[in-house]
Amino acid sequence: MKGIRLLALLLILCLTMGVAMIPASAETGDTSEFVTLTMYLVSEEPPRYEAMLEEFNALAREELNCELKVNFIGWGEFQTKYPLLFSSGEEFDLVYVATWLDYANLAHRGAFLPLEDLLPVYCEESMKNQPEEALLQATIDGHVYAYTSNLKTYSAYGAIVRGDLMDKYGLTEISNMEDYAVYLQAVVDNDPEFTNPAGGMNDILFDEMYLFGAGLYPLSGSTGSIYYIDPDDPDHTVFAAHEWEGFRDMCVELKSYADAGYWPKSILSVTDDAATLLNQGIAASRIHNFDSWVGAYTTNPDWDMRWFNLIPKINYLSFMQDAMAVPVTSKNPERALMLLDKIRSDERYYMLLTYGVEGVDYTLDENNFITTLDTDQFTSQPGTWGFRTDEFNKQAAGSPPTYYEEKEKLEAIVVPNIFRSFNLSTEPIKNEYAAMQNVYSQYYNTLAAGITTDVDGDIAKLTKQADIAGNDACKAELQLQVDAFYAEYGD
Amino acid sequence: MGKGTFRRELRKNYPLFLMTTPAVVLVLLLSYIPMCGLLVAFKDYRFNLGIFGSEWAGYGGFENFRFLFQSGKGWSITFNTIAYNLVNLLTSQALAIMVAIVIVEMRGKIFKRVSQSVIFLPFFISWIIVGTFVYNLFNYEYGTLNSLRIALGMEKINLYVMPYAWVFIIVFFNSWKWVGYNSVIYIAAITNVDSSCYEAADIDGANIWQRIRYVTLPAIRPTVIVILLLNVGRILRGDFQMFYQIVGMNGQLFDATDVIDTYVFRSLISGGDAGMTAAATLYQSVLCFIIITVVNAVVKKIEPDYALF
Amino acid sequence: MEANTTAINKPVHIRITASQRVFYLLGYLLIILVALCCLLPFIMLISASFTSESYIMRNGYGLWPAEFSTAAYTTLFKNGTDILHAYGVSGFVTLAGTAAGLFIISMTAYVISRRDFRYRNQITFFFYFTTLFNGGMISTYIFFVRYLGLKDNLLALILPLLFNVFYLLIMRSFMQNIPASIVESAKIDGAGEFRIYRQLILPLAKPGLATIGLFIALEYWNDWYNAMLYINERELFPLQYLLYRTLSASQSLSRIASQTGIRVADLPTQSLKMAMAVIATGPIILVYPFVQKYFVKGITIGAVKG
Repeated sequence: MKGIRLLALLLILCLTMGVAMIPASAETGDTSEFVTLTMYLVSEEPPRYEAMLEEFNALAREELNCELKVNFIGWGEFQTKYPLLFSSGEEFDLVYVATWLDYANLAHRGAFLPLEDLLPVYCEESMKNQPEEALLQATIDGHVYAYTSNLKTYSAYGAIVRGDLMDKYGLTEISNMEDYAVYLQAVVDNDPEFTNPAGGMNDILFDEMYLFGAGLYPLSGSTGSIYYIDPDDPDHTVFAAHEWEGFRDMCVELKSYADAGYWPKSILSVTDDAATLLNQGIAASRIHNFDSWVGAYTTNPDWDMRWFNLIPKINYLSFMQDAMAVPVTSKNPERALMLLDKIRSDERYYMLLTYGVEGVDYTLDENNFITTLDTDQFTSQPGTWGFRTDEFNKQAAGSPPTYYEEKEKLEAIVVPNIFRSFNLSTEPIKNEYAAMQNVYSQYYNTLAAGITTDVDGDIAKLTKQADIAGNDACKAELQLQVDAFYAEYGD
Repeated sequence: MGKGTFRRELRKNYPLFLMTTPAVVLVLLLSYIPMCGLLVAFKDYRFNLGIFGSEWAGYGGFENFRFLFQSGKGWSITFNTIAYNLVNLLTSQALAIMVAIVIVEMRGKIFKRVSQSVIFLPFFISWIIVGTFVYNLFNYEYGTLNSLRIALGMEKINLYVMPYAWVFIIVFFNSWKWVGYNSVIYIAAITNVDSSCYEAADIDGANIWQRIRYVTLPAIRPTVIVILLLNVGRILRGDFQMFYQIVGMNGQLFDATDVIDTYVFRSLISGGDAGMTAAATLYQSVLCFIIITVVNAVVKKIEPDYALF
Repeated sequence: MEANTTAINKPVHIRITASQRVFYLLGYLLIILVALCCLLPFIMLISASFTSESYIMRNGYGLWPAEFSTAAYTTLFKNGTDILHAYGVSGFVTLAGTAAGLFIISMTAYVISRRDFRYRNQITFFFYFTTLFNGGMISTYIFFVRYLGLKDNLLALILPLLFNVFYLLIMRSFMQNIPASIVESAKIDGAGEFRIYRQLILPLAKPGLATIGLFIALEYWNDWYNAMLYINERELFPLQYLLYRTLSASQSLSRIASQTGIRVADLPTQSLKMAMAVIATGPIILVYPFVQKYFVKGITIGAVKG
């Protein structure tokens, strides 16, 4: 009897707790009430952040009758803490979201407030500069759940190489992977102190150079995708990376590069960032995008870093790489959006949050290039990519002199790609998709890293395991989604 | 055992019941109440609906469990998990017992103190650091192992394509990390042995091996059994960091080294949800429960005092 | 009989037999081998913490710092007050948690070791069940933060680790060694349960208390997970978590550097990890030898006989 009573008590406790875990809906309030807004960003908190926030809040209090409190989730813990923000029902008002932070999944599961009706009203000023695609790319299940940054970034990937070495070897141009191999071979032959000439690490990008280079589009919207389509294919057939017709040739070529020593055999255990490898003189080059080249150049001006784009057809990357959202638990969504609007349209707010206090944390030179004064006290852009704007974003001093030239070159070859706005949902196939991720991490990476001892054998294994994992079911479901998307938004 | 006997026991041993109260309250609060989270494994979890508001998952609530078996790997990762735990358990405890016996029997106070401290050091080295050490030891280009092989005139060897070599590597590092920690319990248990037993053995003319065999080992048998049982109760759980840091993303090694925890981690990197994670944990819990109940019942028949419960 | 007592009181003849010689040889060999395996990596750790980052990246680890550099330590101690605070927090949490935990565990272990306590198996199962089934991080987190309101509260660091069922059962096994006759004779003398526990059992269970006390203390000292979940105020960071955040900040600095082109000098990340381990381990290794002296027999049981 006592046992049953105890059990009943426990049950009641559980139920109460469970019921109480249902988050309250946001209330609508009027704008004349003083509120404190809480924002979560993913980054480390700079020591001088509080000091900067004092000045920021002085403005916010005066103009919007509100105050901002910022909490940071560090890089070491975001995988645990970030999803917990939403499952714990914590109340906060703004949060950084991104494709790589599982935005689509979170949105689909009801973490965010729909914004399509609120944005035109409360973010009127900044919406003037917001591209249509950006809103489309933030749309999940028919609702706009995020307000993306409007900074244009490019899907171009290429070889970042050392200009001093290029000159030394007498090379001038890298227009495809074969040219790149020439450079790498020269490094291997002449400068063996580079133990990892291509900057290979466990986050492999070599395979993407072939896939992207062939004009294929990754359905996940970024690197590491399993499924691809060809945007020029009128049927938009969905296929897995290993089913691409050029896959075998790519594997053979990558194997020859690995055998030639362009990257270490234990590449899958290399956890150091390729940028670090480059800076430390262990790598003589790396495959990455335009912005990384700018960074590499600025960090090592003596080496005259050069960049050669290897993707002929490029688009603007999805704006959902960086965005801000309002969680369902927010008590002041309107005020939060108004503040966000201010940050994006009023330079004073923007500069404070992004770069700190002028004169103390940064200086601007005559070309409007920015120099951070003390990275220990205030690094630039602490978690602020979610509200970066084309208008206010500053170029770092020390950027390559050919910066604008290179940017123009990219602009010239940008082609539209409606599929950038496609958000795939793995929900209906979540088990098969999880199984496919496992299959790829076990069998695909070996091939992509060229460290396989038997190309055909491993391709056969990969194919077989993929079939067992439910490759066909995944493709069928994704095909439905792609077709539906294209029917609605395609030309 | 009806209500009457419980009341009688309560009255008779009132103070004893009272003494268990703090622990019982703590456990109720911190473990039993949050246990309603187990439901997440069976739900299609939505943030705006919470645990109780979310709908039940498909397949009679078992939708979240499918991914464990979808790729046909379900049995192999379960087998790997159990096998590794068993082998690790036996090797690490055997080593710890041997080390403990030697340390207690040794002469030389300073030697004993220093060696005890030294063997504890690996406990403080996190698996992340061990991972970097392993890489430095075994990588093909300039790893210590290969440098040694070259110095001895042998060819370099690429361990990263030899999955079953890593079984030994993992077992070794597991014993290495825990030897100091494990031996502490045994040292305490051995020093607790009644000295009159040793005296009796000496009088009977036993040599040191016999003394160990007939006095020391039987005396620490209860401790050994308890530790074995406790570990059997965790036989489906893996030390995720150990496997992840040592093996990393080297897919070629997965067949031999993949355990449930690493498999789940990789499956859910993107598109995963709380339900699937909870399902994996629940799978481990249920299997552990079945196994320990059976084992405990067997032990209880043989020697009731040694059983866990 | 008399021969026996004199034999005990006389100085021991050191007559080393052949079997003893073999034992000592094998024994020393084993210990030295194991100790070397344990010591060498740690030496490499210390050496790496004093080596420049670029050297480590290029050449890996060695036993002696080839390119000496204190960059890792200067980065860690940059906010010296932070580290002092963290030591304080860790110290307090460890001491308070260990004391409370040891008390609760030993008391409970005593109760369930008593063979005349009828419901001991049921209560033990009640505890043990929680090691098998766990509600998961989400519900535990919600319970702590929303219902107990333990955000930024040191209790959130102490409570989760306070009662460990494994330690309970190990302690129980130590206490089962204590003969029931002692307890019975004490009860006949009219002592209450709690008094028996405090004055009789605790002294006899010294090795057990030392062992479990050490384990609890280590768990508290090494814990950063609970801090990550529940603590946001920098002043309340325990040591391990602070070190973890410092490392994270350093790594993110390199990440930012490559994207925004900020020039950052030789950032210590690998050596930083090593330095962290050295700083966190240091106090324990210094304290441990003193704890070892508690691994002695409890008051001789024979003294109570007869």
